Formats: sequence, C-alpha cells, structure tokens
Amino acid sequence: MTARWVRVVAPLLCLAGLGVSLYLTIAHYNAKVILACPATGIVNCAKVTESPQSAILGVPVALLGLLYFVAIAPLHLPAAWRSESALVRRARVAAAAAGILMVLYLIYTELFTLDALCLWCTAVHAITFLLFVVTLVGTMQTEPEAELVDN
Amino acid sequence: MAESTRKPPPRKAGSGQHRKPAATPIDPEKVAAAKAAKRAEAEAAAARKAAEAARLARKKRQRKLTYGAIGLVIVVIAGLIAVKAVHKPASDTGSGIQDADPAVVAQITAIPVSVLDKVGDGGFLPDFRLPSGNPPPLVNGGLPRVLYVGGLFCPFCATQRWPMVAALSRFGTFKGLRYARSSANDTPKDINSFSFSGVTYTSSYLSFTPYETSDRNHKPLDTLPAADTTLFSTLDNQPTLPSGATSGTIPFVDIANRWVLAGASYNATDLQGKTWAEIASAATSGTGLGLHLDATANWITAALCSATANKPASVCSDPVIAGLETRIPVQ
Repeated sequence: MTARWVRVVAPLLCLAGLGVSLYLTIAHYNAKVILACPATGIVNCAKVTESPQSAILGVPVALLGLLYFVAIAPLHLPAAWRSESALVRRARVAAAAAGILMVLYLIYTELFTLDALCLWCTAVHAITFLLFVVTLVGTMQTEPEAELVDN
Repeated sequence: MAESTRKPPPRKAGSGQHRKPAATPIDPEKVAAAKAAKRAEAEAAAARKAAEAARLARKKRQRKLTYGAIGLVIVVIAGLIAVKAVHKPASDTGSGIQDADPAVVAQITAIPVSVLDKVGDGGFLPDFRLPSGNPPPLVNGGLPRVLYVGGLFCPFCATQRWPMVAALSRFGTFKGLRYARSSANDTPKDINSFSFSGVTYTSSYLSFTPYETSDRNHKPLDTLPAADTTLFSTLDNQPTLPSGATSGTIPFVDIANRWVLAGASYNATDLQGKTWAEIASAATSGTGLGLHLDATANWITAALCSATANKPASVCSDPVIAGLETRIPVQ
C-alpha cells in the first residue's frame, strides 16, 4: 500500500501544475491577459512566452504543459496510487520521466537560447520535478512483493 | 539445543532402587522420515533466507535507481545553471541585453565639459546630410524632434549610440538605459553599447524617439509608426544620401529634419573588444577611442543646439560647441 503522504501530495502537485499551466495557456491565447512577471533582467516572462521557442511543431508549450497535467492527473489520483496494476505504475513513472526530460530541455532553452527566465514556467518546472520525485519514491515504496521476487 | 541443557528429573527419595527404562523398538522408517523432514525444513529455511536476501538486494537496487535518477536530474539542472553562470556571452546568440552598471551610465551621461572642450572637433567633420526637398521641421509637442532608427545587431548603431547618449544627456535625462551587444556574426562583432529600445528620454528642449527595429539576432523589436517609416524611407535614401550609398542605412539619425546622419560617425572597430567600463572610461578621459567618441558627441551637441535655437545656454554658449555649430553645413 502506498504511503498516505504520496496519495495526498501527488494529486495536490497535479492540481498546482494544472492551475499554473492553465494560466500560461490563457495568457498565450488571450492578449489581454498579461503574466504577472517582471520584464527586466534575466527574468522576463514575455520574452520567453512570446519567443519562437514557445511553440513546438506549432503547438504552444503552455498548452502542451496543460495537456500533460490533464493526462497524468488520473494516474495520480489516490485510487490510482492504491492500484496494484503494473501498467498504471509504469505509465506513471514513464510520464514522470517524460515530463522531467521536457523540463530539462525547456530550462536549457531559457538559459542558453533565450537568455531569459519565465517565473511561471519555472513554477511549472518545479512542480514537474517534485512530481517526478514523489512518483519515483512512491513507486519504490509500493512495488508489490510478488514482483520484487519474480523480477 | 534446549534438550541438551535440561537437567534429568530428580529421583524419588527412598525408592532404594534404579528402574530400568522399557526398551522401545527402533523403527528405521520413522527415523528416515524424521531425517527427511528435518532436511526439508532446513532447505525451506534456506530458500526463505535466499528469497529474503534477494528481496533486500532488489530493494537496495531500486533505492539506488530511484535516488540515482533524482540525483542525476538535480546534477543536470545544477550543471546548466553553473554553465550559464560562468558562460561568457562574447560569442553567444543571446539577446546581449543586460542591466547596465549605474557607474558606467553615470560616466557616459556626464562627461566633464572640460574633457569635451579639450577634444573639440576631434579633427574631423561627420557627414551631416541635408534632407532633400527641404522638409518642414520635425517637431513633437512643440520641441525639435530627433528620430533614431537602428538595430541591436548592428555594430555601427552600437558605435553611434555612445556619443548620442553623451550628447543627448546634455539636453535631458535617459531612464532605462540597458547594456546591449551587437551581433556576434557581424563585422566588427560584439560591440558593447546601450539599447535605445524601451528607454525614456525626458527633456525641456528636445524630443527623442528611438527605434531599434531588430534585436541582436535580427528578430523584430520596435515598430516604427507609419509616418516615421515614410520619413525613414524618404530621407535614408538618395538624394539625401550621396549617390552610391545604400538606402536604408542604419543607424539613421534625423535631427529635426535639418540634418541626417546615416551610419556611424567614427570607427566601429575602435570599440571592438572593449568592455562598457573601458569605453566609458575612455570617453571620460577623452583619449584613445574616447577622442573620436567625444568629438562625435560634440558635433551632435552642436547640431542639437542649432535645432533648439541654442537652448539651453549652459550647453550651447560653450565656445567650443558654438564654434562647431558654425561649421555644420546648412540648407
């Protein structure tokens, strides 16, 4: 059985990720919504969110983030964490790994291509990283005995 | 074994005789079965022990993998930040924009008049072009207006911005000046300067409207209003420019429609490899590269004085500036 803290923290992180990525997506599509973020020095949200790198294959990164959190949210529900299905467990780990790889790419792009950091994007990165940690630690703690012996 | 340490039961007192235990026949099959059961039990215990050891080993491996993966991510992120922190932007493709050192801004916006006077004309006369067609004075809010069109990638714009900042600072105040560096792919490359994009210029004598149309990587930045686009395309062209000159040359500076400066007024290579602080120091001393920078600032100051009807007097009554003013060609 998963530790209780995992079943509480993981859905909360998903909720936070959903909220921030929804805000970024709205700001992307609605010019009237301006991100609450400084625009001086290295912290410059507009420079990041309006850059050519803010879309991948024409899809805004903000929207990709939102879709990511929508997709992984069911995997982090308490019921999903209680599930002993290997498929659910592996899907959760794979999604966490995919998320963190994307975060590393985006951090690299911000630092070395755009020379600017977006506070809200950084918040999403931090949430994704924490979710990655919770997923791995939670999975390690809950792996069924049978699988431990058999594998 | 517990049995081996157990004491024999005490004999009954007064019994006076030893009782011989009754002989029980040994069944070899039972003995063999007991031995087999013991063996099986031992084997099962060994198997349980091995399974437990395997489970613990796997748990240990999984722990290593989990914390290793988390650690790896932390190391990669820390590495990216560390590389960025020590990264020299000299040959990067970043924006080249960064906060300006207030001490450097203070130096270039307040070059001592004694130094400027000593430099004088610097031994040259910039190519002040007279706008063709005698256009009406360029004004904004009743003040003579200076239009600047440039780009952050452009090394000649970077070169020209230094004396422009120095000269315009004698008539007003800049707010929001930030460091900018010209493109790493142009020649000369990586000229350190300021950006006029987003600056605020306040003056009682002049209006200054700068546009940096592209950033360091040639991506669009400031957009000119339609009227200024027309002005730019008309005056940054023949016959205002000499025949053979490229139209649309930047930097383009229109001083109240009385003069046009197209291109840098001194050598851009003078600034190559110099830091902002080095350039500002040279300007403050009026020597080395500072000589031509300050002289250009003096010439621009003289043109501005002409546009403002010699206001303010504190600047325009300077004999050196007044002398330069008389040497600038007029319509």
